Amino acid sequence: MILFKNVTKKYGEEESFAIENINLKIEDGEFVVLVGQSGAGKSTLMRLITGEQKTDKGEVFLGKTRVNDLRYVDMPKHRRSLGIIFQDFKLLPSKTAFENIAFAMEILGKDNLEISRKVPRFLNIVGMGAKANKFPSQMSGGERQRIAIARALINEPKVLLADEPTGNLDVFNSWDIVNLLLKINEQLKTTIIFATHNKEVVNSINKRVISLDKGKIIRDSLDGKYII
Amino acid sequence: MDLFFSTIIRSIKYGFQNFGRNIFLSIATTSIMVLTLFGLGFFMVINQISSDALSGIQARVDISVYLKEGLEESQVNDFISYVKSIEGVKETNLITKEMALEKFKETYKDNPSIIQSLQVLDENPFPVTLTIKAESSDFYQSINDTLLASEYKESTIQETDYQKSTSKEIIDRLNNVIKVTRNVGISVIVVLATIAVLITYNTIRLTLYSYRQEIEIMRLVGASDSQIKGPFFVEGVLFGVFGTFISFLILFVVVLLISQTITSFISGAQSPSEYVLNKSFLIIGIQLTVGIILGVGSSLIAINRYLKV
Repeated sequence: MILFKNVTKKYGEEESFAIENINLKIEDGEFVVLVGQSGAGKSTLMRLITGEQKTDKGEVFLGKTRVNDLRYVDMPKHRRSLGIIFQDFKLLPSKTAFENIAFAMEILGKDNLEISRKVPRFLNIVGMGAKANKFPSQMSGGERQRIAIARALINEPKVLLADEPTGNLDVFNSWDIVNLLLKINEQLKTTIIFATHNKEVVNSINKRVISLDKGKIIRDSLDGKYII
Repeated sequence: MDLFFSTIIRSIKYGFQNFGRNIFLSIATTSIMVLTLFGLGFFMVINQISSDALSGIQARVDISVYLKEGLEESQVNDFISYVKSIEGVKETNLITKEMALEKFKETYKDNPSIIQSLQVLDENPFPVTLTIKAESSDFYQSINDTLLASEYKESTIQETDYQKSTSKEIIDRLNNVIKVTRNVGISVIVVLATIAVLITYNTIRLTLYSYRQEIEIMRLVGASDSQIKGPFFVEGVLFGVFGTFISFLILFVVVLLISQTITSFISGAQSPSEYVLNKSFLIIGIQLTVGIILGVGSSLIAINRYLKV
């Protein structure tokens, strides 16, 4: 469960709040869509969950962990319980699809046997089993995002944060990625927080939608409607 | 524990990879490290050669105090006790008139005219002599001054020959040369070490830059501080280790080439190549310690400055 209690965040000397007095509860296994204009506070909300940003007021919980209290040395362990994907994929160009995913396991000290057993499974989950040896430059945007998703999931996080993952993709690939996220949510029971601008997608998937404007939640509804 | 060992193994593996990734930069960094550590090793050798030369000359230097004629044995013993109490006196040796005569005859046994001229004299012309050796060359002047200012100057001492000796000048000159060499050596090493730190720092900074994507992803998937920083730390160690072994090899070759010339110039000095061989563990140990401190130190400065995990 993710819980925001009266959370306020301001960047530097700026007058407006990035996040203002937000109260929010996301249950385990939920699929939540965050919508709002640029600067509405979607990314800040995610950064407060990852611990990259600290609240000015209020508390953020991930399960029993109070993210505000995490010390610098506790941060890596906290981040291992999260998977994160971005608009720009953040894949290593010099590594193949397989190696990009394996990299996330290698640095956590997983042995080669486990890596060689698990990576193909996740490549298949994201539908990229046949492209294990391709480099990012040999893949389409949608395929790259699938690899990024597999990498984010390989260490089996409880929560997947998707920060505008379809922002760089065409309509066809955007649908592809959204369907994949829905499948992951359904099959792996991973909690997914999906920030997007894509009205069509939001209106079609029929999930809980949280609308943000100027750092405030202006609407939190289960009707699956993109309304700002 | 598994994660601990895998972090170490991974750091070593990626440390070597970092070294190879910017190979020309790594060669340049290792070269300046080699130069610095070679300077350090060469300085140690030069220091040893000059110390040997100084010790060789010092061993032959003493103050000879010629005593007045007709002194009682008790007066001589009293004087010897006094000399031994002077600060810096290491040992004294009394040469009686007879011993001095015998020594003279032995020295000039192949020159009968000199021996004959001695026989013309009615009595033994050599005075009783007390030779004094000091703990170090710095003490000779003060011992001589103390003797000449003492009450024994009038009653016991006929003459001291320290002022006349050219050894003092040689020692002074050699001491000056050693001091200047030491100062120049230390200054050169400090300058080279500073350059080595700056170049290593820059190399690590550039490596960090070329790995920025990997670092960002590592951070995202929850790699710990030591997992991210480890390879750059190892890279710093590698500069020190490679620098040490290459510089020791060069030092050995250079010393081998100059060894014969040095030993023929400075009698009493240990052969430099022999010194390097005998003290190889010590020299490598010191070079390795300094190399690793410089390499790791520079890495840590760059990591802490540019790697915000």
